Amino acid sequence: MKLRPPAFVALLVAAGALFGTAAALGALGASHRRSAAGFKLSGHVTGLYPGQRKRLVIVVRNRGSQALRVRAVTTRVRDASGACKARNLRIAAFRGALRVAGHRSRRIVVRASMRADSPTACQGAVFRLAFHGRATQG
Amino acid sequence: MRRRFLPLLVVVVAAGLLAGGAAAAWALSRSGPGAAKAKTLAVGSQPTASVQGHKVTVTWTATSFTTGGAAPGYVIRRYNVATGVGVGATNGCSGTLTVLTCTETGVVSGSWQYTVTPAAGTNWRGPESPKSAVVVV
Repeated sequence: MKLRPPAFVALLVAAGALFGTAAALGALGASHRRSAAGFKLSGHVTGLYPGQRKRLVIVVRNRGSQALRVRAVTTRVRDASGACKARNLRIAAFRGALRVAGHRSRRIVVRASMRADSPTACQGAVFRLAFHGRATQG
Repeated sequence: MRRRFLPLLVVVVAAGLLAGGAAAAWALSRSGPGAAKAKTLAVGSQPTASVQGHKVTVTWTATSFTTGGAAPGYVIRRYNVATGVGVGATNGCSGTLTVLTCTETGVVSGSWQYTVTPAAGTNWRGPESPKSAVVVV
């Protein structure tokens, strides 16, 4: 069977699209595999009290061999207790393009502050933090 | 006929490869743990009080947080020795103070004791100090 030119072009485009999608999905899969050993975020801050700003140092550890650029790090704060809610602690987000070489660590500093009207129940409180970072190959 | 479309096929395949490459350039999204710890105010230090007419000057030493660092403020209370009832100090010693001495004026006649409570922010209060010696106005 002979295909007419428009049908053949459509077939080529469809094949190309399928190929491109497959390639992209394959690459994404590889990316996710790399992320298993990608980078690690950790950090802590002490000495907080109402109205005071502290520096929260977040360590970015690149566990892979390729350099990364950290584009964003956000922090989710969990309640310290029933009487000391997460909203009493504010932690700024990081936005930028911090380069971290393979198998190296870099530090990000963001501001942490307690609300001036935080309850006295927050004395001695420990807030658990969850950092979420986004990076590209860099 | 098909040879004519070979370049088109190459272009389409190259576009697919580029799309794959672009996706690979985007790397990672990761989470990690951390912690933030708040301070605790220590007990206030016992103040001293001296009388001059209807003015009482109260003096105390700085209180630290339990992990170090001076408390940012203090709240003064005055207790009636006869009844044991305490009220916030007024006129010169009211509110949250950031100094280590104050003079309350217009104190009514009677026997009084003073205490110091460390404070931070609007609501944080440490343990109240022991009462001062009795002063008679």
